[in-house]
Amino acid sequence: MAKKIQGNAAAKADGGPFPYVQGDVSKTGIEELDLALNGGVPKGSCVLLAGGSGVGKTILAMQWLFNGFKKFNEPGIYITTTEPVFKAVNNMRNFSFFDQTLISPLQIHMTDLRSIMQDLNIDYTKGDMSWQDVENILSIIKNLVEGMGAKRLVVDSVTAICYRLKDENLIRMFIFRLGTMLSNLNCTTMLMSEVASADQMYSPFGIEEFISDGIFKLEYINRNGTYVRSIRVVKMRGTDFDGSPHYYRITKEGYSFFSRVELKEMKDVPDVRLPTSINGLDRMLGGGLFKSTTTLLTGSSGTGKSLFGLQFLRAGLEKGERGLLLGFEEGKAQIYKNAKHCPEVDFEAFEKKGVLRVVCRFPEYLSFEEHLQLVKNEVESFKPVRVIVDSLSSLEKIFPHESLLDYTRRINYFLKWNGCTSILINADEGIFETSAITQGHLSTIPDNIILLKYVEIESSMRRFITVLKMRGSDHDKTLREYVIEKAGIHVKDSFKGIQGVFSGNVHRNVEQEEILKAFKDLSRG
Amino acid sequence: MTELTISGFNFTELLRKRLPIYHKAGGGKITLLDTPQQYHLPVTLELLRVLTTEFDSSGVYMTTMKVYSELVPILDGQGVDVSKIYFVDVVSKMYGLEPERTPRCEFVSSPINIQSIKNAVSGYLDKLTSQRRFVVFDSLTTILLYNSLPRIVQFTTDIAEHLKAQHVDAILVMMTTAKGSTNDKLIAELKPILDDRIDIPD
Repeated sequence: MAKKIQGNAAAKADGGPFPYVQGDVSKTGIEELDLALNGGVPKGSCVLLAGGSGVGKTILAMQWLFNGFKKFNEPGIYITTTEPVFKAVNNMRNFSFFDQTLISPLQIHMTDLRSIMQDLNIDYTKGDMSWQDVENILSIIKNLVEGMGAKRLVVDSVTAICYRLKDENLIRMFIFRLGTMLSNLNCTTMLMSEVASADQMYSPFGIEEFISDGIFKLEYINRNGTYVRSIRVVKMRGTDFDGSPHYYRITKEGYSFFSRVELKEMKDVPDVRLPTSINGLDRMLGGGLFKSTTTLLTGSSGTGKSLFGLQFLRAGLEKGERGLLLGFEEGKAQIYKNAKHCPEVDFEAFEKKGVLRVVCRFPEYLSFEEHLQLVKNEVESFKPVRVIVDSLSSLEKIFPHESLLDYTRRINYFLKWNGCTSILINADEGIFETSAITQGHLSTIPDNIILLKYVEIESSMRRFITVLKMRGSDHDKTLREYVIEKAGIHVKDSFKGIQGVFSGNVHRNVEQEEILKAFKDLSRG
Repeated sequence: MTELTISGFNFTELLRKRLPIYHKAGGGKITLLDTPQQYHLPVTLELLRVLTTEFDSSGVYMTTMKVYSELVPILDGQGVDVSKIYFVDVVSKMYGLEPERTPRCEFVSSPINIQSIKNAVSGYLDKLTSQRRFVVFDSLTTILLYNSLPRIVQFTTDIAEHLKAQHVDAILVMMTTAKGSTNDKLIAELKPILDDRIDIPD
């Protein structure tokens, strides 16, 4: 019986003409980087690690090599062309991923290209290598990879080789041949590219990036005086990837990425309210703040914003709900003292009981990413129900406004996603102005906005509160006076017979008072 | 007396049986010692210990595995009589170290430089005065990583002939690699010159 073979089916059956296994990747073993790479570097790829001095190219490459052997049983080769092997090894001794016992010919093989060149009678001090020299070097590399069955190779750095080749065609051919040869051997390669100045994007010769399958750009960024390292996958053939920058620190463990606080789509907001227990405020809010919402509490200096926060936390703590206070303005001792004084609550005792966590940091001491990481770590480890961030405005002193917006947006989503009901405190610049909160689109981020302000009435400064926004709920829209008492805040009535409180242009509504009086007189008969 | 046993295989006992046979036969026996990577260090340490202490042999140890300055204290600590060994260190220079000159060690620039390895080994053979003499090549696997198969076959054959002529025993250490690898091919090519083979189980 004759077999009918259709073109497409036949092609699918044998997988096409190339021995390519989809999804076969060389994992870095660094979770965040593998996520950005959609699993890892496609096996057999040649990746350029481009960056200036001090960004941690060698550390990343070494971590990749050692993780490769320890976690995935993949032998690797480290070829140095710059510093001697013993120095490269010594520099790694303090990292936890490093294991000297793995440095051996068939596990992590370390070698110096200059020794090889010397023994091949190539004068490595001159920049006039011939194509034959290149072929000889490639032949040794091929022998090494094949002989030990290496799956990972690091050339540190390809720039040093390129300087000896000089001729653009030779550079192009060298990287092309190296990449093709190693790809055929299913060996993934990392080539270090030393980017010395800002005008060099990924390599000094501008050729390396075109021949490579992938590019990781590593940078040292100055963010308002705090320096942070970032890595960005610029190009990665054969896989989808996240091309946004990922920020990291180099710690004893090697690359330590700041976890991304992702903008995740919100879960359903539960129809449950958390009372603030602030006398009079819950009535204005229709019973309290909805669970898993964020409230921007904004107001002038001295209006009692922090006190609002403390009272909100106290209300939860007294019911056994966990509370987290992230303070960027005052130290812990000061917060304890303030809380003891008013609203008469012993925060220290609650913290000892384990239901409260007060975390204080000077904003200047952390980078933007570290601030995000702080929120993430504390929320994930402590799982609070109520959270206070005091204050956004102190962060604005060190972050550009765009970063503050980004920070607010990210923690807003993150806190809500984690079921926290949060108050983000913000200080307005002026005493009477009420326009500041709408500046810079901060007001569009939270679910609720509560405004605290001063108003001058009959030569005295009085405070008022109003709920400007409350998503998904009706609320009291009046401007109500409040006073700060020993036990805390007490929200009172609205300003009857007075107009212009919000605008600051206060005047008595005489006509309205007279009409009301006339009605009253009429009704009495 | 210490013994090295791996997966029920008593390596020390085997050496105690085989080495006297080589000697009785007049020396010059070429033995291939194939060991899995993970047992490489204890196996070579035990080999050198048995050779230098139990059999009163002296010889040359060519290493591509550890630098001389690090190796000597390790050997010493494991009971090897280092005074009976001359070293050919093929690692230090490749790692960028600048080792101090010593009469007991020759430093070769890299495993590519097999002529220098040959010269260094030959040079030390003349200094060996004991009745029982040995050369340990540790390892041919590493040297093969830097050289073509025909080149290493030629190198090993030449040196084996030289050692046989001088009645010096040679132990060619190799590390087990995947079947069909270049390492495997080398073992097949060396069969005609081998007198014995020891396989350490995985």
